[in-house]
Amino acid sequence: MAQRHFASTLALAAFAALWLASGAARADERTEARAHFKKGMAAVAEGQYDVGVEELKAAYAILPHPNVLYNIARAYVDMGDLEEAIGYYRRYLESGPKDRDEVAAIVAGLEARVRKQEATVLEAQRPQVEPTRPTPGAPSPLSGPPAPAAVVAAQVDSALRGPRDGAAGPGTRGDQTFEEIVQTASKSSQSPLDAPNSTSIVTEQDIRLSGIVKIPELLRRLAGVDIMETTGAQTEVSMRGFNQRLSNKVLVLIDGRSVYVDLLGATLWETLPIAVEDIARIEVVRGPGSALYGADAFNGVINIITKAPGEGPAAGANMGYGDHNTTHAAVWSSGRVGDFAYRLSAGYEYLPRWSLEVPPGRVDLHTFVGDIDTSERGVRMNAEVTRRFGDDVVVGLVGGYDAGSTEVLGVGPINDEIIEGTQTQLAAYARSKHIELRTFWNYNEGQSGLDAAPIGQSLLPSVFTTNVVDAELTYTAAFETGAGVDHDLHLGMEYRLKQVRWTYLEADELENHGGLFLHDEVKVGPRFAVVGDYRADYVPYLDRVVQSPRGSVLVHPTPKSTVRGVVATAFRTPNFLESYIGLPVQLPLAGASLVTPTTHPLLQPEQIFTTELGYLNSESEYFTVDSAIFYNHVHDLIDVAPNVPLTVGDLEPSAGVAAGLNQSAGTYPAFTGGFENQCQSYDVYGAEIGARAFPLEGLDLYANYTLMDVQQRDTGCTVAQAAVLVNDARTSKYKINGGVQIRTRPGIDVEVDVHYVSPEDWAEQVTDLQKQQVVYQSFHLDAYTLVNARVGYRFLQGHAELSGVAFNLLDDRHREHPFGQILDRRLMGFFTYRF
Amino acid sequence: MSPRTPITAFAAAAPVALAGVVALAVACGPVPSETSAPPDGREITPSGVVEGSVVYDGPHPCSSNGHIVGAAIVLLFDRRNPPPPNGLATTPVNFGVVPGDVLFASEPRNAGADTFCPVDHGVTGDITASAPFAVSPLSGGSYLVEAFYDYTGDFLPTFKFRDLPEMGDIAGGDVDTVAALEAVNANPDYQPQFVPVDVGTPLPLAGDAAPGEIPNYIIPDEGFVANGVAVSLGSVITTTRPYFYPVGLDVSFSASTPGSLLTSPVQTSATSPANQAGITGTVETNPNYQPVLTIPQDIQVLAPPQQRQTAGALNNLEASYPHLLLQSGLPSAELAAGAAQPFHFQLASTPPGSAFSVWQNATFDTVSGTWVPQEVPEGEGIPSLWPLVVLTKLIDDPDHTLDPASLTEQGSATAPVVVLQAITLLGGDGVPGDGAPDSLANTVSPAAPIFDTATGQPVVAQQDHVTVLLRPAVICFDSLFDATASDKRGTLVTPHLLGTSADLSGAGPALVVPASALASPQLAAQVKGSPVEACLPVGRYAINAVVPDGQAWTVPNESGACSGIEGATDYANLTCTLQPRPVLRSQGTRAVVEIVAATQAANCQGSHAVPAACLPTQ
Repeated sequence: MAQRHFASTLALAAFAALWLASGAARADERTEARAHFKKGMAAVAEGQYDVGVEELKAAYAILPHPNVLYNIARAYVDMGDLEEAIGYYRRYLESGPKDRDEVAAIVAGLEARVRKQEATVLEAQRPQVEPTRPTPGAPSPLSGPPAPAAVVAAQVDSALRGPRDGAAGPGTRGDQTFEEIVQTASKSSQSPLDAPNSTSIVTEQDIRLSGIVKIPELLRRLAGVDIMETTGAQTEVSMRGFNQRLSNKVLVLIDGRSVYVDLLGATLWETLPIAVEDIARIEVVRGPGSALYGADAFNGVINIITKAPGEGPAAGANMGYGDHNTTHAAVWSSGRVGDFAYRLSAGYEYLPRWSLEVPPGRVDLHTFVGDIDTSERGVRMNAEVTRRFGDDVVVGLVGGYDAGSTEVLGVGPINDEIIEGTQTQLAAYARSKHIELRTFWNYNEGQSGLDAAPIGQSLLPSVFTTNVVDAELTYTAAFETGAGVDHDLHLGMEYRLKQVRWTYLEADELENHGGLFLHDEVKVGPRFAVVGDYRADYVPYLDRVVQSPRGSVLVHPTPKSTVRGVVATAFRTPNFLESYIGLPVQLPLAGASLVTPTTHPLLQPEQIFTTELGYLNSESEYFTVDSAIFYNHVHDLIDVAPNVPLTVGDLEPSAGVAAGLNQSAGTYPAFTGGFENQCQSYDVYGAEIGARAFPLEGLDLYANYTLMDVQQRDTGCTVAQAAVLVNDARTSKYKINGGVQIRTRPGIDVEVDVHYVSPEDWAEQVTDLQKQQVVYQSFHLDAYTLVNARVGYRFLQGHAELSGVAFNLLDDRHREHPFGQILDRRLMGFFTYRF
Repeated sequence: MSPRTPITAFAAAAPVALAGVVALAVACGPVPSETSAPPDGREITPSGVVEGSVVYDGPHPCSSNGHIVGAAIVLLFDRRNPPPPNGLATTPVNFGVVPGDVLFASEPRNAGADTFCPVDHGVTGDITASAPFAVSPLSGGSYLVEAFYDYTGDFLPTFKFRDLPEMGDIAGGDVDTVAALEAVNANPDYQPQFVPVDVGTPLPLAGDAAPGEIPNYIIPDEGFVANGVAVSLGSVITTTRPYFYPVGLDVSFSASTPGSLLTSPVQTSATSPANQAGITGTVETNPNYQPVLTIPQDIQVLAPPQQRQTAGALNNLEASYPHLLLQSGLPSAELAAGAAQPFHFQLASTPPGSAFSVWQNATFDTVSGTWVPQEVPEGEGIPSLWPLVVLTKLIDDPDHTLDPASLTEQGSATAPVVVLQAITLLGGDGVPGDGAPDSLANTVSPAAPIFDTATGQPVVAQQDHVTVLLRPAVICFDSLFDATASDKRGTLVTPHLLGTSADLSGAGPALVVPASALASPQLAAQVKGSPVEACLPVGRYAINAVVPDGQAWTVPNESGACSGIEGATDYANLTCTLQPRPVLRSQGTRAVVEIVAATQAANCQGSHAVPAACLPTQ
């Protein structure tokens, strides 16, 4: 242990020396770019054009943004360097901005002036001749219709006026440049300061510097987010507690599109058709989100925002290889042709298990796929195209595909499961100023089975196909109601069809869901806002409407700080497995099984009530502070019901129990079971505080602390129920995350992340072999400290990059779930090339 | 861009080297294995597997709804704890199922809802079919593989009234076919000799191990598969299960009329108790739980006659024993319900409903090639008769909350199996209709031979009841579920080793359990050490009747009372309060014998207290 500490201290010292020796460096990309941008705009406003342009160029070099190009162009106009101005305007136009027509006209005017100036110079050098006037109506040298001379003159004059009144003056592109925005908390772009929930962002820089290729692992750095790796392919995510195998309490979106697997009520992260290279940022909204997103946004929403078509490098590839043949490969291409933009990506993933549950040489077991090393093997591809129509309308099409096998830990006593199949996602959207229409179709097909079982015991093979079709229409309007009261109103409706065919269910199922939602952000002056949300969802399984309100009060003591109070509820509907299970589960007594009666009691949705008080301060250019305290009351969680011995009454046809021999399973029913709402409820008291600091250029620090106190209440249980319960905290009381990012001009990048998780006590359901029953059992997990690190070197003008990544650098071997595999140290090397 | 310095050049080279090292050096090596099974590790616990094939040779199966009716049931029993009649196991260690659809994959089947049985339509020939089977997980051990084909489709493993083969089913197992051929004939005493199937690696026996003692086995780290096990199914069961309900008897004997013994029924499980005769001392206050018979835990009986075995002496001896009568079938009022859904008892719906077959046990002497009739361990000329009747102690549940239907027999790692074996009496004197009473004297000296030694065939009597004497002794098996104990035999406990001789002439005290009885093969296989003179464990005892082919009947069973999940038993309407269904009162919670507190507390104190081997550990 002492050696480990010494080694880690030495490594940190080396990093520090490297950073100090490398001279000038860069800070957090977005923050630093924003600082340069502000300095540049201020200098331009004061007439110091040379200084201003250099600062703006520095900002663009750090983090390219089209608005910077526009403002550089304007500064060159003010400096009288029209040719440079035209060049930057053209680069700005390449980004396909909304105001491209206006800017094209400006360019046309500037080019005319240049020509005029050139002509004037030539005329001065030549004998005087009668100038040739252009024929009215003749085509312009530039493509497109000629702009009326008066209009062009006015636009050029406007451009020539320059940003006299500051960085965000009229005609500039500066208001939101490099400002952090979130879309998920309100389904529209806004500053985190205005968000009605606690929000966190994992930036593209965080993703690149971490070297992590498992998307959910990127979230480990955030306060209030619970991450557990159970298998090589399965990383479960929850927020503010209640993580579990096949975690089902967080709604995961890709660009606002749900990727929740309704079959299991979970997110199978490794089957997503995108990779970390496709992600622009990840937004995490902590706390209930049903008021906007309906069912399943129980204790949080994660929205993966992908890189927009046409943005970023034109193409690239990232290849990684590491311990036990871990392989990651990703290629992508992006481009823009006029109003049309595209982004294509594809990849391959091979993830070994952390540890084997079937050691080599076992003669008593049979396996589902035979490969005892693999946890994940799959290919993926994704494509998105967009087309702009006019200034406001954007239409997009998205297609994603993933195929392969993935290993997950299932529910209840059903453990290691292999899922083989394909996932196809198609989506389309159209956005305008007031109306947005989104629709998607998710199609899954494949087969599954237990990883291994003794010969003679079933692998519970299954075949499944699912179709989810979703359509959402949103109307957005911003308006005033007088006395300085501004509204940002969203009205929406959603329809979702779910169709499932699965061996594990009693029958094929088809459900039609509907939802209506309302969101209004009422700003009363610059310091105070109230946000109200309400959503009503029709849940077919329950055959009733479930309502989800949310209310937030926002007070801004200073322009860039917020005190937020939130009260919200959310729910999770029973998933298909919980609602309609019809699977005879073979017991250790090989000829007997657990069956599910068709007449089992109706499950109620899981419910959460939250109240939260938060504080966010981003006044300083050097640090931000985010904190929250909250209380959650959670009840009606759905769990595997304790099995009940078959009764003579079950033999009566009215009991709805298939009481005889199951010819296909080769078993006789011995117990009945299924799922039930827990009688226990939970009170959760928690606090989160985190800061991100940028004290020096090239140095980026973050740290956060999460406190969780989960108190189980058994007051809703009968004496018999309470007698078999064990305490279920399952969430660490303390979690501490911290990290450092160092970026140097020579191209050396270093990131080190440290995650400390205090001990956990889980209540899991296991099969008691003697009783042949499902019973609760308490499991203790020791605390662990996870240190991840990456060292990278950029070369060839930043096009190429080599890096080494270590997960669990200190080799703190631990489990993150009682049934999870043992996580040890894993190393990978990467080569990345961006064109 | 600042000019490069040596340190930055070094820094630039370092990640390249690192990436190369990472890519080349770490990629090899196997994924680490979990080093142990739960709870310390996640490795699937190594276990044993028995696999082989089931070979069926019997009548064409029935079919309905496009499926073959029934399945082959393969039952694995621990050789050290076999099922009755040779052991006490009420449930197999594990069992596997080969569905009829699999076994008879190519057999045509009826698509309609009605059940079509070719045998009922003139198809008489047998067919042969086979299919693989595998049963797991198993602990290390030596197993017997018994099997039957559930021809009727009525098998259900969770209910005592449907968990064994019945008439029409095809029995078999992994049997010693040579032994089967030697004992070939239709002798009802025939018991198949099952071939041991060893799973795991045997551990050495202790130095003082008895001859033939079965060692412990462990499963090696890589698991263990016993393959090639051949299960044969071909013996059609021709009799119904020995359905019965119990009646407690009162016995009176007068030395003045030693030739007569008066027995009279005083309690029956078919009704509520009309009086307390025969059930004195019961702790039950709920009449629906009151037993049909009680035995004081310090019961004193007479010793066998020492001087002369007269009818009077035998009557005198018999009268000191508790008597139980098993009435075959069901009470008339329950017959229709018993034969119907959900019970499916193989009973005629009208009286008499059923009949017991009673005959003398015999074993096949492979040396002489003859059948040898057997006596009870005590000898005295008392024939050992089928059905064998055994009482098994139920768990202690004074409030009837854990086991409201009195179904759960005691037997676990922390609670010994406790059994009380009965002596089956002949019905009358062996001559039907002559009015002779069921008595020990008539059983010892029947009016007509009950075994033909020339043919080796017993005379099978059809009786509507069986009377049994309950021995004043129990055997407590406290190591049946101890995996480390290779000697599974139990401790014989009797309240009094000595008793007054049953001789009418007034002979002195003599051994209640003769020494020869302990040396008999039957008891020697079950009892270790000397008898312990101590009181019997109080509690409720279920009643089991067993015949050699493995058929058996037990009361109480699930048909007689509601399980709690079904609600309470509504005796007025004979249904369950939560899940309505018929209730057969005669099979219910009254159908037990209760061993009650001592007649004198002092008899059970000190060394005479109930031995620890008979009591659950706390």
